[in-house]
Amino acid sequence: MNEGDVIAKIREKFGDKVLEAYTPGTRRVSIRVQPEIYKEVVGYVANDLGASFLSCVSGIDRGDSLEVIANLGYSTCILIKTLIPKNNPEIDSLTDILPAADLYEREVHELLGIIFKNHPNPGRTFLPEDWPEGVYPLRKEYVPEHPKPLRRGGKD
Amino acid sequence: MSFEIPIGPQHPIHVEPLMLKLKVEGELIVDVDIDVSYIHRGIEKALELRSYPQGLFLAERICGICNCAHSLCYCLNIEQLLGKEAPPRAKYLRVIVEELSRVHSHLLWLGHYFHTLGFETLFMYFWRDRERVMDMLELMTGNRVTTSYNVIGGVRRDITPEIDSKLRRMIEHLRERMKYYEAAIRSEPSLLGRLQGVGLLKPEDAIRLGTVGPHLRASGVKHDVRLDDPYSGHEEIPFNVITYDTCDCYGRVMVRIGEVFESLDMIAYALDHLPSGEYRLKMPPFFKAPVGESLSRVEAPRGELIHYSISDGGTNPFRYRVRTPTLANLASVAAMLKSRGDYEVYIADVPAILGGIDPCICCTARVIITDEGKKTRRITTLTELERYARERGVRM
Amino acid sequence: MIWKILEVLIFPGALFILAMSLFYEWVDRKLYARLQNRVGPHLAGPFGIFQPIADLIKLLSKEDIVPAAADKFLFTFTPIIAPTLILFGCMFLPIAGPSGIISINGDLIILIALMSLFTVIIYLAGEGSNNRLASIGATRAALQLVGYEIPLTLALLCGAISARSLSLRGIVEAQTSYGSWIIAGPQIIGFAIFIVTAQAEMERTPFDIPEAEQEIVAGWSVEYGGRRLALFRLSRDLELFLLSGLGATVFLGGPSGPLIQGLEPFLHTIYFIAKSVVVLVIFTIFRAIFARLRIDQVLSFSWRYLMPLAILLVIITGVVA
Repeated sequence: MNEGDVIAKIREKFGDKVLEAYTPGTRRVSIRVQPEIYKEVVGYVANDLGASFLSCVSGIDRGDSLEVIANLGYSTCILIKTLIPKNNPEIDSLTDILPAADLYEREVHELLGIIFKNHPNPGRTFLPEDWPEGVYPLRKEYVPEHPKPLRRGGKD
Repeated sequence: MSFEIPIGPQHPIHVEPLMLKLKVEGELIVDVDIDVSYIHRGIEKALELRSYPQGLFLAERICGICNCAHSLCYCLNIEQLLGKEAPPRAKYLRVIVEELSRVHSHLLWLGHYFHTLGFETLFMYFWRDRERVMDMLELMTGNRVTTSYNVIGGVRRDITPEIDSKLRRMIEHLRERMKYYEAAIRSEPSLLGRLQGVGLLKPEDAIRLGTVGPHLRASGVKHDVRLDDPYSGHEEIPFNVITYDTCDCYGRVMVRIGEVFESLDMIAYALDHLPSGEYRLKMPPFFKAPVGESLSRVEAPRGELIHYSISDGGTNPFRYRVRTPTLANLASVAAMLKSRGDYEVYIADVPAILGGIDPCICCTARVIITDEGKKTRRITTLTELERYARERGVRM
Repeated sequence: MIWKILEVLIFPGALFILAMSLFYEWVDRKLYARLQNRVGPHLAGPFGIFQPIADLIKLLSKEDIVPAAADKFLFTFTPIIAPTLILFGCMFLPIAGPSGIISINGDLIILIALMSLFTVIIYLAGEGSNNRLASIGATRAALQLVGYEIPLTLALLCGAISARSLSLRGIVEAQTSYGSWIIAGPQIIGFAIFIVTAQAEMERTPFDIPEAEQEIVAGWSVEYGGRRLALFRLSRDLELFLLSGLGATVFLGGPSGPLIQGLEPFLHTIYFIAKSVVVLVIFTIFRAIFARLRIDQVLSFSWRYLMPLAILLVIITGVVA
């Protein structure tokens, strides 16, 4: 299935809820959808378009909103993107349709504070235990402190 | 009676700390909990704070063994972002070094894998032959491990006729050795007993759990980024994608052995058909990338590697996302380690199954302090542990 | 009397046996390394021959740690009893003459019992350290005993039946008087069974299941360190000496061979060591060419193939003899 077919089929199925669809390069498809149908689109791509391999779930801080990207497919990379507001960052978890999403969603949850509804085990896995609650390192407002050089005989 | 045994965070089979909590009944594993909490080095954040040329050095250090794949993926990504393409000679040179590092990684894995099965002799033999590959990597790139060969717009150095002839000699030598090992592994009953039927993963499960790389191909799924999404002249270089439908650890070993042969053939082909011309583009030391996004995929030795970057038009990436193959493969480990029905997993199979995915976890894990006297368990952080050690040190 | 004491303490008694067992460890390690394309021990002494003793001294000088949760009595008692038991067993070996320092009727049976007792000690050592990995290792050691002990006993008994004697002295003298070793004839199968099961007795690859480093770290010995570990290692070396010596005595004629008047003890010792080193080399090669098996594979292999073979051999030997 080439890039054009994927876009045409998704546009046909979901109509104007697909906000944007284009091909950034060969074998790449980028589709931006509304957050309500995000899971539905992923399910459609995985089950009906045959791209049931989830290679990655990523999160991006876009200023006042957060973006979630699900990346599907072996040959053609289908990126399904959606924007969610930063003050209420909630989205459906993909784990019940694609179990591979488990670790990726946990990572996005910890690093960007996106809450995945119905995620089976949203515990802390990637960050150190003593990392403060509510600080999400991949958000733009988090500026890492510059490491201080070690000194001989210094306190701590 | 069942009880829990910890494998990790520090364990002879892990090179990096990883925690497996196994619930066992006798020798049989009934449940497993994987704890992959690793020291998050924050490379994704750090890449946002560095300019594109600086980021290359950081990307290369994401992983020691697949450094070549990471730097190649980074370069492809940035080149895509800039709308540039490496010259044909550079593409072929990249393939040579990439396949060399794949051979090195697979030999390392094979040796380590047999070590985890308690077959020390084969471990020593594989690692001795790996040394030849390391020498060639050093000759070609100047470094044994972190090769620093790929740069944005090409490669760092050209190949000389002397290196060319040495490479060919190494390929011949390694082919002979690998044939010998393949025959030995196929006919060694104690090994076959440990490998066949262990760690079954059916093709549909492998796809559902997002498995990649040789691990996926051992389950009979023909997926290789080099074939599905050729990225560096792979359209022109002939190679076979090795798959096995045994779906077990035996298949995982044989897929990797087959891939070593394929990689050697690819190197030989690339040497024969090396295009002439430039081997790198001239790039300014600092540059701005146009607004856009790019996703690059590379078949690292361990499987599909994805780099995804977003540019806002500045000198640094706006967001840089890295998805490493081990993260994709970990989900399948938990599935394979649980006994269910006829499928029995013994404690002795844990190294075989975990080793089968070629885990590479740059991670640190929490420490569980078990106080037998007070019968309490708590999870402590590194700082707490350090303090605990200091207090103990003073008292003793 | 004084000669007897010197015999027990120095030659061919405790001191000689300890020195030889360390030498055997060196032979084992060096050959194993060469088979793997490694150099092996090469620093301490010529060709690293003193490496085992250097390791022993290093371990003895380490800090002695008793885990808070361990059973104090077992943790102290087992490392002492283990080498003692094997050293006692070595006293039965006919090193410097057709009979050992201790020679009684039926000492072969005592030796077999001592070796089984050693596994029991290992089980206690593992359980006494109160560690989950150690207890798995200890259980594996006990399970493995069920697999290999009967074939081992039967293989040795076949030798005894051919020689019509249950004492090592009788076995050696029978081989001298027949003029041929027991291994000649159907007992070559007995020797093969002995090699396989002895490997299991010593917990060496492919039967190093109780202390599988990659699975259960070091199995039953995981908590032992310092001088306790040194004692366990020493008992392993002694066991290597005991079993290669036992194989040489029962199947290869032990210390017998052409003698020169006046030099008998010396020549006996030379023959004994030469023959047992041959057995040791077979042990080492065996160790180098296999991967570790799984405990269920060991048990099924032993009960399915080794046990019927051993019983068949006993019947054949009984008919022939």
